[in-house]
Amino acid sequence: MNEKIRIYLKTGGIVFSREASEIKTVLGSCVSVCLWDFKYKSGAMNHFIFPTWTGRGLATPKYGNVAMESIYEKMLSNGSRSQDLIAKIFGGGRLFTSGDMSLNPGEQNIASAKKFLARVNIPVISEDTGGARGRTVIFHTDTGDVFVKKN
Amino acid sequence: MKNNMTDEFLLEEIKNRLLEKNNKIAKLSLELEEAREKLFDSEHLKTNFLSIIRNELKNPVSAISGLSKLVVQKDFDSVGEIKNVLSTIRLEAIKFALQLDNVLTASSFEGGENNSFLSGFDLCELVYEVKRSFEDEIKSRGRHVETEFIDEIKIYADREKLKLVFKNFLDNALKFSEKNVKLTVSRRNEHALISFYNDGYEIEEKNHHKIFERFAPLDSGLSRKYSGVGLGLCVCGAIIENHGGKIDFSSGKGNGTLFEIELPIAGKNQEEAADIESGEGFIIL
Repeated sequence: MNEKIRIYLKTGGIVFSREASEIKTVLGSCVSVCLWDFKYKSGAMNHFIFPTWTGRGLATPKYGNVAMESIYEKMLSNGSRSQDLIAKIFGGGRLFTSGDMSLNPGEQNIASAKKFLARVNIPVISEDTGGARGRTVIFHTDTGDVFVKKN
Repeated sequence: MKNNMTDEFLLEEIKNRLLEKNNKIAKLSLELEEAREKLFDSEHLKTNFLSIIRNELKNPVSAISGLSKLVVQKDFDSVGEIKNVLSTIRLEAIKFALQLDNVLTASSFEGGENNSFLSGFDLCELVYEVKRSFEDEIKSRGRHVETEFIDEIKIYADREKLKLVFKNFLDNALKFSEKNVKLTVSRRNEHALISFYNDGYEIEEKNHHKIFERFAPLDSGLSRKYSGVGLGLCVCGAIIENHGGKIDFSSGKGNGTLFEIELPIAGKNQEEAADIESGEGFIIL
């Protein structure tokens, strides 16, 4: 039996795979969204740190709005149809306690992902978000399973 | 009487609700206007970028093709004359390669391909290598470039990406200097410090925020004195940030401009080296 391809996903990166792969990432207040095509058994994963690109620096997938557009485009450009996609959301922990609740970057990141997914009508079928701990996340692109461990 | 009071109350309630709705509409249209302005700004930046990039990439290609045609067709009196033309062709090709490298790196970053190829190497050696690759440019611009290697530093980083960063900073320093440029490599706590000083063009305070913005050269329009697409520093910022470092600059009246790059010596993202863990402690979602 062939071993799965193992990929480490860094902050600001996007990985797409149509081969059976294990995409691993480590999250704190960052958020990762896994998009999985249940028809083609292919998947993509992003890892963003800020909710919105403000126009400063490069418009990289380090920002939620860019990362969500990019991951969606990646799936569509590889032949997926929007109606065959499902989403899983992870991360967005509150690792540092701050007095002002509205400044919680984790929650803003989660909101940014959900806002985009609602706009393109992709259902979020599971999530493990928020909380005070970081997470190690491994996405199996052939089955759509995601293994999560609290760090 | 009671009915009248109820009507008045209802009327008041409707008025209040209308006012509330009006406020909501006003807030929404303000948000819409802001979004429209942002979109307009971004479109404006892109259009400006395309017109700049057309010249920046087209000019060196035209120069290279024109000058090489000259070498092929003209009978030169001496080898020295041919060498002069060939050296101009080389300079234009180097300029073109740098701009192309910036555009390709920016596009790979924006596409989420931010893979690093990390290795251990001597930082001073890399800075020296970059300086040597600019020797013809330094000579043709008549600049004096001083290098000072205060500490010997072995760093763990992406060599090719850092090379692109140093090339951009040296290119800018040469472009904006009057006469002198100085490169320094030293150690600050657990960080390596690489500085690029030039004695020329000073960045006005009102333009400081623009430094790391993409497609926003400080000098734009037909009357622009300095070339560049306004992408170099933006790409440098992304590369250095990816390494867990930072870039600072200071620019004052009569003191020229100093850029300082701070990089962690041990490298970043040690967890990348970690293998996929065993299934213990994981839940499946």
